[in-house]
Amino acid sequence: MSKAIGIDLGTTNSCMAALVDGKPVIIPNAEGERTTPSVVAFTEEGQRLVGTSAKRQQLANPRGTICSIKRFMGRQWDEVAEEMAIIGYLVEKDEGGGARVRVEGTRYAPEEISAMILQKLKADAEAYLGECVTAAVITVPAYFNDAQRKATKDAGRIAGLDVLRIINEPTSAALAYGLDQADDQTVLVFDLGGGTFDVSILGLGAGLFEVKATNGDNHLGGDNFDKAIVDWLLAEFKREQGIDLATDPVAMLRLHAAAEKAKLELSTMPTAQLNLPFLAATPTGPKHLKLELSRLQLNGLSAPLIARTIGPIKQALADARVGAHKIDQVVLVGGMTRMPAVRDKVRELIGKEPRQDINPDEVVAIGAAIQAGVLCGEVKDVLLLDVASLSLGIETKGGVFTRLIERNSSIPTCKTQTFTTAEDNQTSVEIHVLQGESEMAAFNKTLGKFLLIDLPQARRGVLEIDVTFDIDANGIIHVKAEDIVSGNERQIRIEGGSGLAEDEINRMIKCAEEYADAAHRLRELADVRNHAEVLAAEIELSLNEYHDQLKESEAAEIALRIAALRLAIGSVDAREIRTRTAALVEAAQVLRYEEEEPW
Amino acid sequence: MQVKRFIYATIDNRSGKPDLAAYKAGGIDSAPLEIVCYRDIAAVVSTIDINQFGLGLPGEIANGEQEESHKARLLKYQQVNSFLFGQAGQNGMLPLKFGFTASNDEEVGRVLEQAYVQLRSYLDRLQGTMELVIQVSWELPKILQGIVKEKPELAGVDPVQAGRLLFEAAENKKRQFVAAIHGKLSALAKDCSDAPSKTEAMIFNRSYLVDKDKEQLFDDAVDAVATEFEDALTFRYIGPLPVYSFVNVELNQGNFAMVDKSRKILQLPEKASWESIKSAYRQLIMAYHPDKNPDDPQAAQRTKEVVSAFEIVKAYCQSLPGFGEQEKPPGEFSFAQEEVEKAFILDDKGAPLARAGRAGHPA
Repeated sequence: MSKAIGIDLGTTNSCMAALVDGKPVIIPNAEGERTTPSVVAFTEEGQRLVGTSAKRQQLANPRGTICSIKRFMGRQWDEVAEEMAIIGYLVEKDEGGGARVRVEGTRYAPEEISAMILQKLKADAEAYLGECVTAAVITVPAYFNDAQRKATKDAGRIAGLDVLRIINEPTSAALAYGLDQADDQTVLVFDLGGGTFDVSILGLGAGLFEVKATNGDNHLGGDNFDKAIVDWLLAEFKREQGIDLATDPVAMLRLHAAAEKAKLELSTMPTAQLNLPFLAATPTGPKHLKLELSRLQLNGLSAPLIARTIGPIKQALADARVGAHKIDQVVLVGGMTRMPAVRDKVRELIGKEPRQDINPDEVVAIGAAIQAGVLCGEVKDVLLLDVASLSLGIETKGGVFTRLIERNSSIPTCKTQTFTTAEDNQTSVEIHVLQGESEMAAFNKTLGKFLLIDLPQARRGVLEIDVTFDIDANGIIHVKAEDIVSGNERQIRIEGGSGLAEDEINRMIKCAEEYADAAHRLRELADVRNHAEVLAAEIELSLNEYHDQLKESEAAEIALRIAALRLAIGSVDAREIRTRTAALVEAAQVLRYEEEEPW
Repeated sequence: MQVKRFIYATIDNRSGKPDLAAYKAGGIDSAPLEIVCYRDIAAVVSTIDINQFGLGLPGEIANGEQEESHKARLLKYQQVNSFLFGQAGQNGMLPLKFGFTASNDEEVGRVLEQAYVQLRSYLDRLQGTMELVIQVSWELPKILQGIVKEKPELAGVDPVQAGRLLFEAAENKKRQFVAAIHGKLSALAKDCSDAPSKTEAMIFNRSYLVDKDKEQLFDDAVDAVATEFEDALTFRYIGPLPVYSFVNVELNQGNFAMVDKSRKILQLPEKASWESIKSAYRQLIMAYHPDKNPDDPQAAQRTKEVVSAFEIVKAYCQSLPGFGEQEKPPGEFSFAQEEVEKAFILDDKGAPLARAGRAGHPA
């Protein structure tokens, strides 16, 4: 039987978990790590690396190493200026205005890069669990919009996974914590990860996890804290040495790596040393960077970033209509919540000691595994009632955004509202479907447009046009418009404004499958070569030992076939190697050489 | 002609009524302003012809052009509110969302009665405050030139790369400006609210909620920050205004058919406590949800019905006096026809109920 797993596809690190004997456990990757860096690298030799091996060679290969790809998922090129400042690789605008990564002359959609990470996770999970993994629950930040969710789902498909559900990361964390809770509770989840900040408020009771409100900042995460430290280092270095390192990509990557390390150290130590020898070369000799950063200084640098979490928390509390004093539990998620200043801020705002008894890097994946269990019928007594995290509606007269579904409405849900025409004898109306919180349509995100045509002749304001929004449990939106008198109706299924076209996805699925096949073939070739090499060496040894007991012609034949096999080993033709191996074994019969394992 | 009462604002009535006679211009379409009182709060209203107005009808789908008459009425609504704001002095006044109407004065009175607790607390919270708007624009070409001067090394980089770096630097500058301006002002304000930028060049459009007695301090701070950045930025300072951006109250008349249907979907008796309503909802969700019934094609539909029914019942209960933000709403809520029809459903988020409520309107 195939297995469904839970995947936390993070900005900097990804993590996976599955139910084993009904209990959620973290699945380590092939390298034995419990989290996998969300990094994909393309080496000059044309090799593709994913995870730690990719991250390790980043310094040597900044242009070919793709990190933080999650920040580009489902986004238009125009929306990613802030992201571009952080990355060392090239992102271009494609014909449709989407963001595309360019490496070594090839363009990749962010979905494809994410799929490469998912593909590795899938393969590693299969190796660990010893069964086929075909389905997954993947988590996204609560504040991801429809296009970003769709992109994540597509990445799963490209990697060969049936994505059972996309769930919000903070919700997932609450699932992981709340399994054993019997009483009614209100939980606030504070999730500060590598690239995004999310806050969610959930009501728990009798196995039902009801999301009450979500809010967040799509542009706030650990990367921003690293960047604050890097900016400080740049300024210090410029002041001391008069050199601006900002234009040197390798120096920048070294600074980023050092900044991240210092940030981590400062979670447990009062000061951290930053020591980067040979950071720049000048006519007067090499320049080194040697600085000390204290926790107090770091708190100063990160205070404006931490302050950005306050607004979303307050908004979420207001939306959920609960006061801070009514929060029963505070759950911390994401590596950034290890930072003492972050924890202090949460404690100050909510007035409760936050819980962190499940590893904040793993808690989201664990919740996703539980949800996968719910959807496969393996977990019976739990149900997650999620919400639409952004409002949905249509454009009405004057460019006004009229909401049909308010943000934080429980899903599945369905709403109908009656509209009318704005002009006499109007023959058609355009339904412009939008998502967002602005009162003006122009500032929200277009999800789709369609026309309702052949309206009967009528004065303005007379026709009744029912517009229905329908969101299923997967968050897929259907919009229908119906002219009540004539019964004339049109509908669309929202597919995500800037997403990939179906044929593009199919092409990518094929590429991914081919890559998986190629990887499989390469492994097979390596096995065949190993076997042949060992065999050739053993037979050569026996031949030297028993040479005297053989006929001259037999000995010559064996030596010849050894040489031929060795020649074949140098090629990439597995079949040729197999044939030559068999031929050698046959000739070596006279040595009574018996192969231990038959082919 | 079909007339309705248009409600501009709710005002605090404790220290006397505003002198509406002094306001010669009148309300929308020059109709005289009048006042409807309930206890120590009051609504300022005028009569409108809804056939002329287009209000009360369901929303009209955009055709791209904005009507002049609509703009004129919106302007009038703002003028009336500015006048009331001037009259209110240290008392609170609450501009209601443009377009709220009631059938007659009796209904206006019922609105005030039903929503009294919420309106009163809003009035108290916003008492003696005003809204000040800061809009800041920049000239991007000038900013970019400045950046190039600061970073001459950009000239040597290839054009695509340079363009990107320039763009990033500009974004950074923008964030620094916004942080610097907000940093100077936020301490003097009680709250702030962002509005979308009106032009491409606008980098900041934020309303601040400021105590009236801090107006001078705030003015000085705005002056100082505008002077500090006068070479780079253009400031527009609007106000004092009524606190439009800090109240968002919508009211809707209780619709018995809808509330009754919802109650029956939740399988509730005619009177129920908040606890029993919640528990009934949870049980039904657990039983119906498609995740629990993957093979039942009806599951999704039934869940949607339960979800909407609960939203309606919840909004109804929350609109009743005594619900508030307390730990546990006291007693039982009645779903009897006369109770529901008396209720006005207030939602300061913009109302899930508003939509459903409107279905009952004649088109």
